[in-house]
Amino acid sequence: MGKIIGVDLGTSNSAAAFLEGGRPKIIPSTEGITQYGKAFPSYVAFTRDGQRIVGEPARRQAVTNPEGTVTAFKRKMGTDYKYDILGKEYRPQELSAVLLQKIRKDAEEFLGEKVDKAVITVPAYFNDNQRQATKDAGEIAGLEVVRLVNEPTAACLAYGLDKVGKEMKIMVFDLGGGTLDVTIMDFGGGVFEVKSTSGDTQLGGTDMDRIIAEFLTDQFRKESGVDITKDRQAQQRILEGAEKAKIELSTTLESEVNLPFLASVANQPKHFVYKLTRAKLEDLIRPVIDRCRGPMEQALRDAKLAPAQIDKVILVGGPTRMPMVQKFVEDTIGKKVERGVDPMECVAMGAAIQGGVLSGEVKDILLLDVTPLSLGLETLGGLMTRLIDRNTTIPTKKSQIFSTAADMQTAVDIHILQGERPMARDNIELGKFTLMGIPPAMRGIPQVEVTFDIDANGILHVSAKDKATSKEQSMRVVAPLKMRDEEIKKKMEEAEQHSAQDKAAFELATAKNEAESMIYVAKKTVDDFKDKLSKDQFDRISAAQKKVEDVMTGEDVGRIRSETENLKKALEEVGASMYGQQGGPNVGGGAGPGTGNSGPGMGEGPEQETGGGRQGAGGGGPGAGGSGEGYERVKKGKKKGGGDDVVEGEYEKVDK
Amino acid sequence: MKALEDRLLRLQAEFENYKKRAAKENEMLRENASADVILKLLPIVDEFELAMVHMDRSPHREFKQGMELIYGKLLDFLKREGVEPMKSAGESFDPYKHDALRTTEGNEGKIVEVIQKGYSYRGKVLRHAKVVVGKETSKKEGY
Repeated sequence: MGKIIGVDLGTSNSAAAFLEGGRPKIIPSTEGITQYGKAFPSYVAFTRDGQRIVGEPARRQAVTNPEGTVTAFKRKMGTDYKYDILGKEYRPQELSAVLLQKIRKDAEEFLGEKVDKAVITVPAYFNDNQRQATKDAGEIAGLEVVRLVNEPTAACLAYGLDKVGKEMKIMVFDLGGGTLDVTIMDFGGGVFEVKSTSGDTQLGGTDMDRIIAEFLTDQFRKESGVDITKDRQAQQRILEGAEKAKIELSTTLESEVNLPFLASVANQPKHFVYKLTRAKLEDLIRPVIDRCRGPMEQALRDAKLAPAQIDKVILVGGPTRMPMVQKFVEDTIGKKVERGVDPMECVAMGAAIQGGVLSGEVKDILLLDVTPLSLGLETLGGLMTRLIDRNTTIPTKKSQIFSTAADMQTAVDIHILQGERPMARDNIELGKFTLMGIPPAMRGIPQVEVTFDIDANGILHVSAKDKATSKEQSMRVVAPLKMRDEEIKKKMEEAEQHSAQDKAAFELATAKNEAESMIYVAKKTVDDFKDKLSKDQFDRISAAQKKVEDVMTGEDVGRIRSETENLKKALEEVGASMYGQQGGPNVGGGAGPGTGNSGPGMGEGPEQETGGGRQGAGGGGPGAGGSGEGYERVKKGKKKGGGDDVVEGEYEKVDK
Repeated sequence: MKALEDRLLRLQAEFENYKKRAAKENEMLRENASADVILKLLPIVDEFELAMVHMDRSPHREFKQGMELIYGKLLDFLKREGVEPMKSAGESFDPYKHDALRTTEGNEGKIVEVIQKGYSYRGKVLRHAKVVVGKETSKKEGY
């Protein structure tokens, strides 16, 4: 069966959506994305040479062909009104049908299949005649209108309010380019009932743009003494600047309108630079926003409700993206507005969801679960290394290669964690097991493959396998995903609150890991090349190493890093001079096999700790100790605290 | 069982279609991404041109020459990326290329004045030219 598309047939803009894998998605207009986003202007034009133009191009030619261009015909739906366009009569539904035909064509092109069914939205206040006219429009366009849905109801569906499962009173505040609609609805028993509607047909975003442009024009006149109201090019630039600033100020507190060579006086160019603040913008548009209060109060009165009785507030329309509009509504009702769905797209999306319900698609969707929190394991320095990110759809499986933290380490601890915080100790521990019997080798050499596998039932299987001996250990964690929503939310909030602190802890742990690696390299270099090192070189390395060891006990990330860097430099110098001694002319490549050379490689280890694992596994690394480094899982906190597992002993030995 | 099988098949088909659509969209997205950046660059090109006009009247010849060279480089870069300015003045108005801001007395349907230059990018319109269109019969400026 073909898809049922959802159509938002608007007064000034229209849009369509369809259901993809249970989620609504906007169908892009063939003209591409315009200033209206993915919607297109509800314009229809007929030209003298018999062409029919729809949408964005129709709007662009409107002034050259005023007799042949119509818009806002939605306002005449359901009346006997006839448009006389270039000598031919059109009923409003015939014009709406032209828009629907374009939507149908765009949809068929995008979906690659025939589209002949639609759910169309109408304003809540539409009467039977207006609704019938809308159905007729669909039929003329070759679309079977399987259902008409009220626009505010569609918006609620897009927000999933029908799934909340309790009775509530909802206010839908729909501020578009040129109209305001306020609707109050009652939801209960799976039905949305309209209690009252109110609005203003001459109020919207275009008023705001005009006011800002006028203010900027005035400001320029004050600064330069030039009046640009008659200069079309300048006016156009001011208008674009105003719109850009308005959009920017939704996310920033200040926006610069910067228009060089805006005008000229006696051949002297005049530039316009003005810093528009959000506060100033809000001052300017306050009169427009204040006009929204009346309709809101009217709607509440008609529904016989006090603001406090409203349970949910939903915003629809581009201008509601402005923080000031959101705040105004929140202050008036005394309740936070719902967020998360694009206010320009939510009506079309809601219509698509209704379409999905009617076609049975929604019911059919096998809702796949996701992991609510990330899963991973503890690695060197008490870090949490993620294997499966939060929101990954399950079933899923992921493997990564890890290695040992110490020379001759024969066992690794797999400490399974769940959470978003970078330090292991802040996350939830799901389980722990030890893989033993790894053949003794230098640190970084053994390859332990750790696999996290979540099946469709949400059961997590973790296994660790030593690649050399194929020895394997595994563990099953039942229902790591079964957390209540509040718990998940709490965890996420915690992660957010602690992000700065966590970052610092993470930095410190990483820096210490790097320092440890570098000390290891230093010791190894000294060991391996005792006879070749001059006394001076030996002293320099020992001194640098001593300094790193000293700062490592502290918490100063900057100093740890800089001392590690110094030690690295000292080692590099020694490495370079040794190549010189050997008389090898071929120093330049730097790909030598010597341990000295592995210094920098080791240093980088912990930084690439997730990605690096795979690199290490690929082999191809340099010589001893140089590859696959850095993902050891020994817990720093426990390091000094007396070993409760095999690894720690080993670790301490190396560290001395 | 049969129902399950049917559902699986449907889901698989849906997924196949999704993959195709996603591939197409990806393609579109990639193109749009660079078009987006260039579109934001165009106002600066406009302003450069305005500066050049003023420089024509400037006595600093060397300086002007230098600016012209920089401007030439900028245009050359855009051209190599596939961006071409439209020649709109005097042409017939076409709503797929031009955005009519108003009309004025003049040759019917011809572009009398270009208020903002239009550009195309890899053969597609990147920015519609904002123009004033001629109207023979009109007595006053329409809006």
